[in-house]
Amino acid sequence: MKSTMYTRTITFLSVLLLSTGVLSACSSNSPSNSPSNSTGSSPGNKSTEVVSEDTDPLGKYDKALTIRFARDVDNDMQDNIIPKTPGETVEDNRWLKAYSEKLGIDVKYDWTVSVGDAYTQKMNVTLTSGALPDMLRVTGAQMKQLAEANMIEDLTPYWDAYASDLLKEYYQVQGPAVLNAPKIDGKMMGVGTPEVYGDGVYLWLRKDWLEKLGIPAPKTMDDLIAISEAFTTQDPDGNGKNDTYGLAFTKDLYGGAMGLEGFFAGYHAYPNMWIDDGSGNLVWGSTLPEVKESLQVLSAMYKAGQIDKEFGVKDGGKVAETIAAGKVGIDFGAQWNPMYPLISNYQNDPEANWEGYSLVSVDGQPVLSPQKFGATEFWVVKKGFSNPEALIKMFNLHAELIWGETGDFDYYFMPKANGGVGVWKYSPVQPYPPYKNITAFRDLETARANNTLDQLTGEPLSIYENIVAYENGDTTQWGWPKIYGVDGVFRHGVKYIDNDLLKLEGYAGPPTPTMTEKQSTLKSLETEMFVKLIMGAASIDEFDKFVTDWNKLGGADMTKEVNEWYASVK
Amino acid sequence: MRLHKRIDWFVLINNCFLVLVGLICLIPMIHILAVSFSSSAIAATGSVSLWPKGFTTAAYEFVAQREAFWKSILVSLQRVFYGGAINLLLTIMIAYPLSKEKGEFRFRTFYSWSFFITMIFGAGLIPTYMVIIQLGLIDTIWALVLPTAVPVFSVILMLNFFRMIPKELSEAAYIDGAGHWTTLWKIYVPVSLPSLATILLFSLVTHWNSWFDGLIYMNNPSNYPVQSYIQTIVVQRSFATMTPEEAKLMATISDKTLRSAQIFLGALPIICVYPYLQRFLVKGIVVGSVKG
Repeated sequence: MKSTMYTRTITFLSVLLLSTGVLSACSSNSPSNSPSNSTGSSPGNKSTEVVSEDTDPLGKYDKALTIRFARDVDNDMQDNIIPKTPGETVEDNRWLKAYSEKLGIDVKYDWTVSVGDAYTQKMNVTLTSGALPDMLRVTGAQMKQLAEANMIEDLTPYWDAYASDLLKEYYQVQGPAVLNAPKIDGKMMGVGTPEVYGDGVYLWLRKDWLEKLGIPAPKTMDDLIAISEAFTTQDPDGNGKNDTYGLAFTKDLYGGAMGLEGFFAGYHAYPNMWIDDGSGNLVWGSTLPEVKESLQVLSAMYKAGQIDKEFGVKDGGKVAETIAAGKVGIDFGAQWNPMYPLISNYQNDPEANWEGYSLVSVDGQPVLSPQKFGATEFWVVKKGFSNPEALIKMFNLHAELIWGETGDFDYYFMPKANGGVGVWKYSPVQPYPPYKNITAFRDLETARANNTLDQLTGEPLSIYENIVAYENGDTTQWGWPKIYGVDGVFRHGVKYIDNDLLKLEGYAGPPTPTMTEKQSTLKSLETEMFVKLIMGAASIDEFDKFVTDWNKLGGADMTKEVNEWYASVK
Repeated sequence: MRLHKRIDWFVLINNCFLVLVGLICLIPMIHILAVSFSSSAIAATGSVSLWPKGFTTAAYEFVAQREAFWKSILVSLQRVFYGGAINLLLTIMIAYPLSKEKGEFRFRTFYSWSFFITMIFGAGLIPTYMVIIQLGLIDTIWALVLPTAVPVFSVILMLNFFRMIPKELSEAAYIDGAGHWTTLWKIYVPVSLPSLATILLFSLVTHWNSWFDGLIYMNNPSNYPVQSYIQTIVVQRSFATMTPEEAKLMATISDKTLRSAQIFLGALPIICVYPYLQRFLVKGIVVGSVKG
C-alpha cells in the first residue's frame, strides 16, 4: 500500500517537473496568463513600490480585491463545524466576512477537496494545468519547482514591510529555521507555518498495570525495560493468558503515536532526522553508533516476546487495535495520544488508565525529546498577482482576530454559542502561536495554583470546560485531563521547554535534488534493515554494512547537499 | 466404472475450487457487514470477524443523517443513468457500421484502428485533465460521463455479436425497403438484447465503482460520487506525518463501524442490480459462443 503510494507520488512529481517547465515557457510568452509579468517588473523595483506605499499590516483596500484560493475541507468541518454554524458555508462565513469587511479582500475558491492525499493530487493536476489560483498552499517540493519555473512571487519585501509585530513574534519562537524553510536562493518564496517542531515526545504507560504489579514509575531506560518485561510475563490484565506485550510500535518504526523516537532518545540516538554532530556538520541520525546500540536492546526485547511478533507487517491502524484490545502497556508518542489511539482502550476497559511521563535516559545524562522538522506546507502567491502583500495581511488579520488585543477569541476560534467547534478552520490561512498548547497548560496551571478561574479565557477556558465535562461523566472527553489535567502530560512538556530539552532537527530546507531522487529508496532500505535487525533476521553487524550502503546509494551526496545548505544559513 | 469415478473427481475438485473462490469474494462482504453492526468500541480492537459483537444499528442511524453520503449516492445514480445510457447508445451506433464488411463500408479498417488504438494507448492523467478543464467540464457530471463515453471493449464485443447475426436477416429487411437505421433498431437491437444487457452491466458497474476521476475532476466534495466519497473516509492516515489536529479527527473518523456501514451501503445498489442483469450475462455469453 505504502510503496504504491510512493510510486504514485513519484510519478506525479516527475510529470509535474516536466510539465511545469513547459508551462513556464508558455506563460512567459503569453501576457494573458500573467498580466503584470509581461511588463517586466523585477522583484527589485517592485520592492521599492511596496515600501513607498502604505504598509499598514491591517490596512484595508479601498477597492475590493478578489483573491482566488483553493482549499481542503476535513471531516471535522463537514460533520461538525458546518452543521453547528447555521447559515455559514465554506464559501460564506464569519472569517470570509472579516477579510472582506476589515481588509477589503473577497476570498473565492477555485476548488475545494477533502484533506490529505486528495488535496496533494488535486494540487498537482492544478499546477500542471497552469490554471493556478492567486494564492495556494503547496508542499516544499512543489514550492521549489514553482520557484524554479518562475511561477510564484518572491515574498521577501512584502514580509519585511507588512508582517505585523504579533506575526513576526510567532515566527521567531522556534528559531531561524522557521523563516529559513521557505527560502530558495536566499529569497522567501512562501510563508510556512510558525510551528515547525512539535511539542515533545512522551512516554505513555498503563498506570493501572504498574499499580497492579507494584512497580514504581520508571527513572531510567533499565527501569522501563524491566517494566516491559513485567507487562509481558506477569499477566497484567489478569486473564490468565500470556497474551500481553510490553512495547507498541508500527512497521514504519517512527510516528507521532506508536513510534520509536522516544525509545531511541533514551540512548541519545536520533534516527530519521538530520542532527548536528557537534562539530558544526549535519549527519543523518540513523547512521550513528548509538542507533546500533538501541537496536540491539530492541532485538533482545523482541526475542523475549515483549514486542508483537507481527509488528513488521502492522501499520498504525493495526497496532491501534492491539492498544484498543488492552494487549500492550507502553507507547511512545506525542501529547495527543490520549485523543487517539489510547482512548479506544479506555472505551473497552474503563480500568485502563494511561498516563504520560517524560522520556527516560540510559545514563545520568538528560534525555532530549527529538523533534523532526515539520514544515510541510507553504503559502505561495502566483507570479504576476497584483497584490502579493494581501497574503501577509490575511496572516496578520488571522493572528490578530484570534490572539491579538483587538480580537475576539470566542467568536473567531471556538465559539461557545456553536458548541465550541473550531470555526477558525473557515479561514483559508491559519497561523497560530507556536507551543500554544503548552501555553494553554501554563494558564491552566496558574489558575489552579491561584484557585480561581476568573482569568481563564479563550482556549484554556474551553479546555477546562472539557476536563470538567469528563469529571461530570462525559467519557468522550477522557483525553483532556490526560493532557491538560493536574497530572497531565504537559507538566513534562513545560519542563522540556523551560530546560531546553528538545533536540530540533538541523536541516530545515526544501528537499535537495538527491533527496527528491533517492530519499524514498534510502528510507525503505533503512526501515527494512532496522526491522530485520529487531526481528533477529539479520545479525547486528549488518548495521555497519547498512551505513556503508546508505552512503554509497546516495546518502553521502545528500549529506553533502544538506551541509551546503547548513553553511549557507549560519 | 473407472471413467465414472474420474468424472466424480473432476466435479469434486471443481466444486471445491469454485466454493473457495466464492468464499474469497463473500467473506470480506460479510466481515464488513458484521463490523457495521458491532459496537464501535469492540470493533476498534479488531476482534470482530464474521458475526457482529455487541449488536447495534447505531452506525446506520448515524449514516442516515449524514447528508454528504446520501448526496454522493445521488450523484452516483445520476452518473450511472447518464453514463449507462450514453455508453449503450454509442456502443450500438459504433458497433453497427464497424460490423459491416469492407465492401459495404470502405474505411472500416481505418475507423476500427482509430478506436482500437485508444484501448492500448492512453494520453495519461495530466493531458486528460487539461482537456477536461479546457472543455469547461470540470465540476460537472459530464466530466465523469463523457471521457468514458465510448467503451471500446464493449464496442468490440458488440460488433462481434452483430457479425454473427445471419446476413439473410438484414438482406431480407433491405428487400422490404428498410434502410440501415431501421435495420439497426428494428432487427439488430431486438435480437441482441442479451449482449446489450451484458454491456449495460459492464458500464453500470464501471460507473458506480469509479472513484479517482471524481476526486480529480470535481472541485467541490459535495459533487463527489459515492465511491470517491468513501475513498476519502477509508484511506488510512500516516502516523508519521499526523498533526495533533488530525489526531483529534482520527478519534471521530477512525470509527470502523461507521466506515463499514457506508462501504456496505455504497456497494448495496450494485449487489441488488447484479443478479437481474447477470441472468442476461450468462445467456449473452452462451448464445455468443454457440453461434461463434
